[in-house]
Amino acid sequence: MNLSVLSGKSIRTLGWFLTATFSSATLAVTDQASDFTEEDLFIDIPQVISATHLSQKLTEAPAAISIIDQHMIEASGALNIPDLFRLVPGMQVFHVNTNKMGVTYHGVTDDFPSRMEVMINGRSIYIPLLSTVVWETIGITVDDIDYIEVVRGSNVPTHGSNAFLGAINIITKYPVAESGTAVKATTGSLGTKNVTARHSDTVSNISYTLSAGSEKNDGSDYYNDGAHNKFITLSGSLTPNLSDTIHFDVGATKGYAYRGDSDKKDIDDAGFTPREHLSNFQDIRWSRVLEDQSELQLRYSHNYLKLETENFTAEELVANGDAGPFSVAQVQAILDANYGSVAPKDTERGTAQTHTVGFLYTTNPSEEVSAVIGSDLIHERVKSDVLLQYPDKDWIHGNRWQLFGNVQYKATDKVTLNAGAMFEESSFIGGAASYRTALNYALSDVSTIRTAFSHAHRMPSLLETNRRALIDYSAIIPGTTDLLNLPGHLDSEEIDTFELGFFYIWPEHGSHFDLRIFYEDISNATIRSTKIDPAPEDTFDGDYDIGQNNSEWTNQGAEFQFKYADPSPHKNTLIFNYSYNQTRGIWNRGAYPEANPRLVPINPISPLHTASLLLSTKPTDNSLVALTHYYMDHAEWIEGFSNKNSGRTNYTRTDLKLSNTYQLDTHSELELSLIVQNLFDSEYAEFYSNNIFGRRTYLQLGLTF
Amino acid sequence: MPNKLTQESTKLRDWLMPIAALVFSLFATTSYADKLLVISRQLDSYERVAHQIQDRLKTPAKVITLSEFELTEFDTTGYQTIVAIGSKSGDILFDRIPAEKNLIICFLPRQTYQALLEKYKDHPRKLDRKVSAIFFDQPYTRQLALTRLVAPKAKKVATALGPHSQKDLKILTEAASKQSIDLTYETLQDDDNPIHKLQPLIRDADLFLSLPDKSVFNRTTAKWILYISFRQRIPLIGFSKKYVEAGAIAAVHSTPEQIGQHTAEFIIDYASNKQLPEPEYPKYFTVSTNNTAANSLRIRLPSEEELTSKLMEQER
Repeated sequence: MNLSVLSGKSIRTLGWFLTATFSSATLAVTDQASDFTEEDLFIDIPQVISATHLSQKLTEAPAAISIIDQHMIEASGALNIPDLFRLVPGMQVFHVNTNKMGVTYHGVTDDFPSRMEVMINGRSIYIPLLSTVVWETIGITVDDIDYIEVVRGSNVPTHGSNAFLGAINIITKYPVAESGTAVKATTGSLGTKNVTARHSDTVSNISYTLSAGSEKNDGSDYYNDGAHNKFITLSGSLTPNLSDTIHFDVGATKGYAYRGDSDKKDIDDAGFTPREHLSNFQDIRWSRVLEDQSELQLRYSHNYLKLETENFTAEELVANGDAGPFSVAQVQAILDANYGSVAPKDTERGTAQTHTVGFLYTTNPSEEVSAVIGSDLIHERVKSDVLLQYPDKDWIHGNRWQLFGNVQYKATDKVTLNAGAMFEESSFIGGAASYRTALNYALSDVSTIRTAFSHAHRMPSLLETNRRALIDYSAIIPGTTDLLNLPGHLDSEEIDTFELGFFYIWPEHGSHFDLRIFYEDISNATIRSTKIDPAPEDTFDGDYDIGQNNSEWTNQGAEFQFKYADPSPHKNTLIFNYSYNQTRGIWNRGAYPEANPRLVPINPISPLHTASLLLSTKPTDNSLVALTHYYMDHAEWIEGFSNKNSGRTNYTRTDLKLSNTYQLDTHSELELSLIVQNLFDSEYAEFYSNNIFGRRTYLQLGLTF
Repeated sequence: MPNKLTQESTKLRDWLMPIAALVFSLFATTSYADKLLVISRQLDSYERVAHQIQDRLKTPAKVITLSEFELTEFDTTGYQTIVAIGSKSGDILFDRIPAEKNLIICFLPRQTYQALLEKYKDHPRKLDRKVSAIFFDQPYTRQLALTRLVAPKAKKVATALGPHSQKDLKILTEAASKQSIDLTYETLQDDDNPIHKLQPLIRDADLFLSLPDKSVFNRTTAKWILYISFRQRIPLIGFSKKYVEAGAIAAVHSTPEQIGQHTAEFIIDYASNKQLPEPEYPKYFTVSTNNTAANSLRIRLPSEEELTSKLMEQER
């Protein structure tokens, strides 16, 4: 497809649409007796923002959205943020190592899930160096979260390429809504020792929350793949006057997490090694409420992440047999001759930096119409002596520019229309336009059906467009180079999504039923490990990886969430999530050396059934009993489960949380919790066949004052 | 001898005339409308008010938008009663329609109506009492009565006053003292820090009452009021259904249909009077509640219907 033609046309359409909307919004200036009218009483209230950037009711948004609220966070007993997404229909979460998590929607991924955007208060935490989110480096914990919005399904028209299959927006607790200090300590299985503290206050013009902590564990007994992460975050709001608000989040993390291949039973083969991280982030948003039912937001954010791993020495390579026939001196000569390192103990190494500046303008020109237009300029730079071997340059730079908008039109009391579009231009592959249209029809005050169609593009990440690794053997065998990775000439991935949604609420007690029936057609996709026929650059074995847009698949099925909540607040809650997803397609692995079929059916890379159930009750005002049950069907993740015939790959897991709160005085309370994960000790493997998840027990003590 | 064409045209006329008469009779109904409803803008809420008025009146009423009225220099001859729906429509029609015709303005805030009367203080329409109104906002006594029903033990009620509501301070304090409510308030100006002003105000209150004001004031203060009252665990009474959906535990408000019904009854009772009676607050209203918000504050709320009928009883 000729992207430039499509882009030009789409951007003109978008421009016309938005111009028309904003023009109609312009009110005639009159010498009215009063500028206070009945329309001043029609103020809108915030609902969800992640579908379009507009504040919308769940029933009027053009996408399926799941909310993970405070009660779900509390009842789940989750000790890390990814585990919370097990409570979202259609999502899969897995441990790759004890301290490496993957989160994907509708399967089809390796250990670096790359097709979901993840944000904290709207700031993307997607790492272009690894094309994924490195969860342990994000600087917040479950205790910092107010709620999470998860857009199920492609949300590129709002959030750009990274939101190819969905988007997660983690909203942290608002400093103004908190006061005092909370300290929490967790200890238990895997040698876990976590301590976190939060303090919120208002001083002068600033409301702030300072959050810090240390989370440490020793990993599994078998692999000892532990981690230690220390973090500090300061969030604040300044309100110099009624119309202006400035929010900021700044923070830093430092620590390590072990990486290795727990598909290998032999501990030496598994090669676990500490991968150190150092990160910091700054995010500042200025928003002004304007007179004409509109609001303007300007934003600057910066993410920095440095990952370090050790190199094998020549002696180690010879000793463990990886050096083949070469002697220590010869291997050392190869290592010395190559740019950077060619023998990392883990490839998660390098530095990534992202700067984003953007604006967002939202307006409600009338009761029926609300619109948003915005633009982001994203500058990314990455360097890695392992993944990006370019002798002539240190950093790889890339720019992405996004222009987006959405218009919501309430045609009648029953009909809501949404049209959104995103034009995105990447300095590596040019521009592409994505769009979505949706119609929501209210069958009654409590039920809505939604039909939506979207066509979206995913620009390859900086890693995908630049990945290059080779070993130059010329120090010992003149003229010999072994190519390992080349980026290829990548184009954007594409997805067409058709969906039908049904939403029913029981407003008297906040219960709901949320159904999404979907058909997602993914084409032009790139999947890691694609190998092609020998190329002249490779004079060693003619075997290397190269990025190609040569895979395609479809997801079709249905998923739902049923939530029952007692009218009394959270006295009894039941949440049931279920997803049936039939994935069909082809993963083109190229000329794979083991002579496996070139074209591989993709369906096992996605579980057919995924389900979760949360039951919680509060026997007294101060106590909580919660049971959570998870089920995931057989899935052969790319890079995972090589010995898939060796055992059961679907699993069930039941978690229990018991907690009781003791009121110490009017301002302080103590909370004691017992969390048991995999209560029935039904051991199962996640992602890798030896990555065993058995029963884990934790004790948690929280003090607020 | 008539030629063929004349014969055909006669035949045609024989057919057309009854059809034309029928069509004319159908359209005659509208052209005989003796009431004109002028909506400020083509917005759903204005249209809902207009449709409700149309449905409840015994004689037909024509609905046009204010822009149609202005663009076509609409001739109001033949219309006995003219109803302006919304502030802008009321403002324009006040001076544009003949002074001897009654003008009923509905669906506007009380303060805006007062500003209109001030603007046209020497206008014959005002002097001859050819104008009246049905307000959209609720009387303070009603809003304070709701605070009593929702939190009977609340003694201290706090509120924040914006550029418009601060003009009502006298009426508000009188209404509070009549109901033995200890009212505390802060006046917020554009350059005030909202958190600085609202935090101590809400902290020291038993209940916070949000009053409607200019949209920009409502929008800039609502989020802070919601956050701070939630943090201080102080119940919040809003002024609209949307406020309740956002987290206020209750609000008393009137729907466009209720304003339409009230206006229709007002027209039937008084439109043909030489002088119109005093303007009225909405006779019909609804109380909306947010049980989730109330439950989190451990407040057991009566049902919406019960609260509405209790308020109505108190006003009888």
